[in-house]
Formats: sequence, C-alpha cells, structure tokens
Amino acid sequence: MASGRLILHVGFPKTGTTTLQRWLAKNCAGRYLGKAAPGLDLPDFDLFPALRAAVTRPPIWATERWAAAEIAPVAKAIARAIEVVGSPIVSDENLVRVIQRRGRAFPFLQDEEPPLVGLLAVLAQEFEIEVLVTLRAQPTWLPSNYAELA
Amino acid sequence: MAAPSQQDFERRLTEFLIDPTPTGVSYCDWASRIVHLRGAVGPEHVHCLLLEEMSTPEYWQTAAALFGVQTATPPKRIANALAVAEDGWALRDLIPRAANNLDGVAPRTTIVMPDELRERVRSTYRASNARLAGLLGKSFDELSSLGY
Repeated sequence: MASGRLILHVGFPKTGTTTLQRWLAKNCAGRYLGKAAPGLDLPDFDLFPALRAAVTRPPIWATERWAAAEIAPVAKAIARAIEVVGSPIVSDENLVRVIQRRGRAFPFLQDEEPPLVGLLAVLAQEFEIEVLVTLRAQPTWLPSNYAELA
Repeated sequence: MAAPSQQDFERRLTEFLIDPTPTGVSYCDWASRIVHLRGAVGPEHVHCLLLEEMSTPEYWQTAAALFGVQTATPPKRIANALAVAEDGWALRDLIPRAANNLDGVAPRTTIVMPDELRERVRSTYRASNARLAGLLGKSFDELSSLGY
C-alpha cells in the first residue's frame, strides 16, 4: 500500500461545498487538487478528471471492462499524486450523485447504487482513502436542489 | 415541462413524497448512503459534516483535523450562504449564479418550503435520520433541532 492517503470530499451538492472548496484551496495549497476554481493554480496529476470520468460513465461499472477502462487510470493518478504531494485532497460534490439532468427535478434522483461506492471499494484495497461527506437537512436540501436544477 | 415555479416545485415534491423509493435506496436517505460508503472504505474512514453546523468552530476544527490544517480559521460569507437557505431559494434560470443573493440583491423569483410539506419531508426521512444520528454520534433530538 502507498505511504500517503487520498482525502476525498464526495458531496453532496448544495451542502456548502463551494465554501469548503474555497477554504481548501486557501489552506491546503499544494495538496488540494480540485474541484479547480478559476484563477487557482492547482496541480492536477489527471486525478480529478479521471475520478469524474469513472463515476459518470454508463452503468457498466460492475464489469471487468469497466474496471480495466476506468479504475486503472484513477489508481495511476492517485499513486502519482501521493508520490508527489503525500496526501492529496480532491473535492467534487458531483462524485456522489449518479446522474442529474436539468429540468427533471425530483424524479431525476436516481435510486441506484452510485458508481462511486464500487469504485472506492476497489481503490481502498490499494490505497488508504478518507472520505468526507457533507450533508444538509432534507427540508432545505430538496428546494435548494430544485432551484439549482429545475 | 412546466416552467420552474412555486407551484411546480410543490407538485413535484408532493409526487416525490408519495413514493420516494420506487426502486430501492432513496437519494436523500443520507444514512443509507453513509452506510454504503462505510462498507466501501471502512467505517473509520468516512467522515461527515453538516451544513447546519458550518458556522460553528467545531465544524472547522473537524475539517482542519481531517485535512491536516494547522489553524481552523472559518472562511467569510458563511452567514450569508445560510441566510439564503432560510429565506427561500432563487430559481437558477432566472437569477445569475454569481448574484445568488450573496451580495444582498433581492432575487426576482424564489421558491419557499411550505410548512405542511416541510413536515411531510421530515416525516418521510425520520427513520433514516434517526439512523443518521446514531452514525454521527448524536441524539436524534440534537439532529432534529438542526432541521433533520
């Protein structure tokens, strides 16, 4: 197992993520790999786009083909980031949601096991991963999400 | 599709609450989502922070410990961000995101959560949030006081 650890903030959306990401960008410079904000000079190592790609593909994630096509690039990017910065941090509130389409508020909420869970289960065999989940009470989360996506 | 509006919001939410779990795990069943993530990486490796506690020192102390930050200085504008949530939600299509009430600009169109629907949402997720309280090491009363 690699000596560093990946710290991954996975969402949910509309839970103060932008405030947290700005705080991370300011306080964890050099280790915070995104969600990138305009004007920030952040290292990347292809980790952020690899993670995003792995959880937004069609739901073939339980197959060997998915594993080979999607997990390998993520694992390679994590290993590289750990090698260079020790304990890289990634924050992307969209990692935890499956698919949300504008104009389909509420019925759009998918009830499938999200690809992220399967991805993390595999990656955790090779890397130490800390997962941060930010939450919000449903009575304010639902209208906030509607306002964002409707 | 109907244009985004208070009426459309209430209609969609009402339909959603009739059967929020048509095929399995509800998206808003936070406890189940946490349990799934714990199963993937191990219970001790999953951490939670609540938006409702973002203005407290404890929130930023927890974040600082997790991310290895020496000083847990909270960022600015937290109060404004929370105020938007309590007063209403500006519909994004009509309000530029950058002016989403953070600078005191009155939104032209907002939606609000009616009390009756708020209670129905809380009732729908009461069992899930009771489990969530246990996962967070809080009492249900404590979590409920935050709006859950």
